[in-house]
Amino acid sequence: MSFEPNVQIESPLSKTITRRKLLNALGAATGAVILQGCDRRQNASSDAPCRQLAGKRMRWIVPNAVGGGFDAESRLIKPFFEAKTGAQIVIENMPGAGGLVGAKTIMAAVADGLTLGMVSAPGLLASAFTGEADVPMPATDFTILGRVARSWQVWATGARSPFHAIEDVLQAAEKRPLVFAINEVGSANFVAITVSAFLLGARVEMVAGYSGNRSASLAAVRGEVDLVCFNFDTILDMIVGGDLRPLLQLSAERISAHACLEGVPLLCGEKGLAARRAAMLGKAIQEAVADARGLTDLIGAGRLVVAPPRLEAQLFQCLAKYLHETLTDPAFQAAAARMNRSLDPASADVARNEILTAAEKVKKFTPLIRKSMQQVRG
Amino acid sequence: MLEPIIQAAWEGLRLVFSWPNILYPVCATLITMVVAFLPGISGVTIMALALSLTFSWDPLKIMLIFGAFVGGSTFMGSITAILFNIPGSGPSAATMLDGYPMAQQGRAKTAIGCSAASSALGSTFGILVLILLIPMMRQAILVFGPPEFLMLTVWGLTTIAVITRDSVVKGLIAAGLGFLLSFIGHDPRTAEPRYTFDLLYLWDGLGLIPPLLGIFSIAEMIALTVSGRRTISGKTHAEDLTGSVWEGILSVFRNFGLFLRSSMIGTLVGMIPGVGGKVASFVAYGQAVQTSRDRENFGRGDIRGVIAPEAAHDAKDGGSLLPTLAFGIPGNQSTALLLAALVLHGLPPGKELMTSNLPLVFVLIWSLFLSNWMTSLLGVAVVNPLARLTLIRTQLLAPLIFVLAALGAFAYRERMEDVLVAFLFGIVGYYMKKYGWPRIPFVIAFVLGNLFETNLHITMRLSHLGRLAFWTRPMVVALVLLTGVNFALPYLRAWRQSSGGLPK
Repeated sequence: MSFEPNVQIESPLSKTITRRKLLNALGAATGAVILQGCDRRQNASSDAPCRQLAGKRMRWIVPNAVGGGFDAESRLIKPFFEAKTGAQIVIENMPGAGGLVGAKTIMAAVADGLTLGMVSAPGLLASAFTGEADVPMPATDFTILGRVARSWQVWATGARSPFHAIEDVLQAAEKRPLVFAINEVGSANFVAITVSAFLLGARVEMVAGYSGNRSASLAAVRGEVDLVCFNFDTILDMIVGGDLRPLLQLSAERISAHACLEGVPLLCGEKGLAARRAAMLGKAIQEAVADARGLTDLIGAGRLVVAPPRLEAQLFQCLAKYLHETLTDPAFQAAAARMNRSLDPASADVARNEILTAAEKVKKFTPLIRKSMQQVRG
Repeated sequence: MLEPIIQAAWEGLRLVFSWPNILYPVCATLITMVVAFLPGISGVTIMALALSLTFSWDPLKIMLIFGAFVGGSTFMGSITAILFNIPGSGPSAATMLDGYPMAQQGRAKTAIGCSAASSALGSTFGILVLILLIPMMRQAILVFGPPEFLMLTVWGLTTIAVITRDSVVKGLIAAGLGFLLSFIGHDPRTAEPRYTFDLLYLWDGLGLIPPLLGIFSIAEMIALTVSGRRTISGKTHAEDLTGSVWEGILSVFRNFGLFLRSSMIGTLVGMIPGVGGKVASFVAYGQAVQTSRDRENFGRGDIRGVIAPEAAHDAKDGGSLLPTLAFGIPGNQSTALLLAALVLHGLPPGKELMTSNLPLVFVLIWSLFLSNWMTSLLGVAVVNPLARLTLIRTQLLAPLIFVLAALGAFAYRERMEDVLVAFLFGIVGYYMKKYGWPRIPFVIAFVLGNLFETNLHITMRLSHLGRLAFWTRPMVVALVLLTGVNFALPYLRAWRQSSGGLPK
């Protein structure tokens, strides 16, 4: 970083320097030097717990297979975070049980700063809402160090579908249920579809079992189903390639500046589709706005970097600081941009508070989500 | 329309074979071949490592090495399957069924020669189809939906009926057991845990490799040790080994029809998004059994049982690049890593990749081609020392195989439970062998069970919702007819023989 001092230099001849002024200046300079020294010492002492990690092996657990989004982001973070901590990061991919194997491994590790990893906050929250037992909660069962990225979902249909706008979809929904392809009942996508369809007053049927977002998206391209609801990033290339057409953004603001989202309505906000539908269906508008916001906060809770619970406070502070510095480093962001990874970093506190708020807001939908699961399970 | 494709193909060829570019696929192939022989490391592991180490590389080099990785990892798994009954990957399991009995008969050289020729020619077939289909790649993939997947697995499952000819009841019970075990995990329709006994380990099912390692590799080694047989081949001197590489290579040409059918199956299955090579190998093996007049030797060292899975397995590589490049849907672990490499280097799959970056796509294809041929030629070149591995005394070999099997099981998902499962299945497999319970129906049902169930559910649900009409889909009708013919053919032949028509 460079620093441009903003000083006004007076001509040495313009004023006579008095002894008092000279003493004052010397005093101020000495004070500044002492203060700066204290500040440095404080910084050094706050970084001290992390210095013990230098040269050591740090496990970085990725709860998915090699090659996925979490894996890509972890490998992107690795060199930058290694430079900060001095630790040697070893990425361990632990796929299984929808990310639970990896998440539980992090949760059960010793909180010594040498085991970190990534978890999907929406995935874990969704599992908890659907009543799955023994699912760790992101805000309480881990020490959140920061958020790397958010994931925003869209409703999309196949390019050959008769639906050209969300209005067409809602018109069809008045006559029959909308058919969605999903991977797994109880997933974050399942929750997003259930709640968003409820807010829009649409009946839905879900066809589960497709292996991955792409396979499910192909079902929409083939016309087997009406719609899919997935993270925008994961289906962007299919949208750009003309295979899928986005119809609704499950967010309060435009997800991306990408031209394909031009004119695609938002679910949230005072003028969002949830509010408009509430007005049309005679429901409470403000409640619909709040509910839509809660849903998008849940979906957007994001990909977190976490440590095991009960991480020592000073160690937490320096790791969270290093992570934030890494994620906001322009070189890191440039590398992410080159790899088409859209980031939305947030500090530990911000990420944690958002998750707690989102979890609270969406609690009211638990009966709806469980009812939907019962319907699917017959 | 064809001109830009030919230009891109030529440009891709020039880029691969120019200096120093050629070094990249050659080195990547050699590395993959070497590590495929090291316990616990596979071509996929190397690809995962390369993913991290090549962040700063340009896309051309990435295409050069990843094409070679995909090609190099395929054939080497077959060698361990033939020599030691250890499948290097899921698809190699089908090669074990006849490849290992050939090694037991001292015909390892023939089996390896046959495997090398089938692999090289099969991959060439797959690549040619891939090139021909590039202009209509997306339309070709969209033909396949859940009903087609379903019928393909049904086709594979009909093999059980043919294989269980000696003991139908035992065969069907073994297949039932395979089905039952394939259902461990989550119900694909409701996502409810099934037979998991609250164990997180079982949430995603048993996995493919540990049970296969157990039921074949470990069980065979137990049987070998108990039998008192001195070596795998029963021979102790190199000159006692019968067969030759040429015999194996020529067998592919003698059974060229089978080779072509198997390659077609491999390419077709590879094209189906999300369906791995294991299906291709087993379906091809099944059709080899079903379409052969003399089927008695299958499972006992019939060379046709090596040609079919090997040709299909390698032809699948070309086919599986279609959904990977066109829609970003990988068919197996190696194409998943290839996909990750493409995305990380700013080359997302889809229309743009297949138009603006077509020369790079051809770099990948030619690199895959080069690697497939290199592995086969090198495999043939070192066939003598490889075949001599079957002369190692049982006392030395068995402990080594137990260790390799344990390492292979652990390396699969880095879980100790997988090692335990492998050894449990080893004991089960040994007793199945001892008491004449066929293991092949078990494996086929275990491999295809989950795919069958998932696609059955999706097909039924879509049908119930009025989203598809099963019998109006041409590919479904074709597959139903094919399955019917395959199923009925052996019985028709038997009937004609008994009525004095055909010679056996």
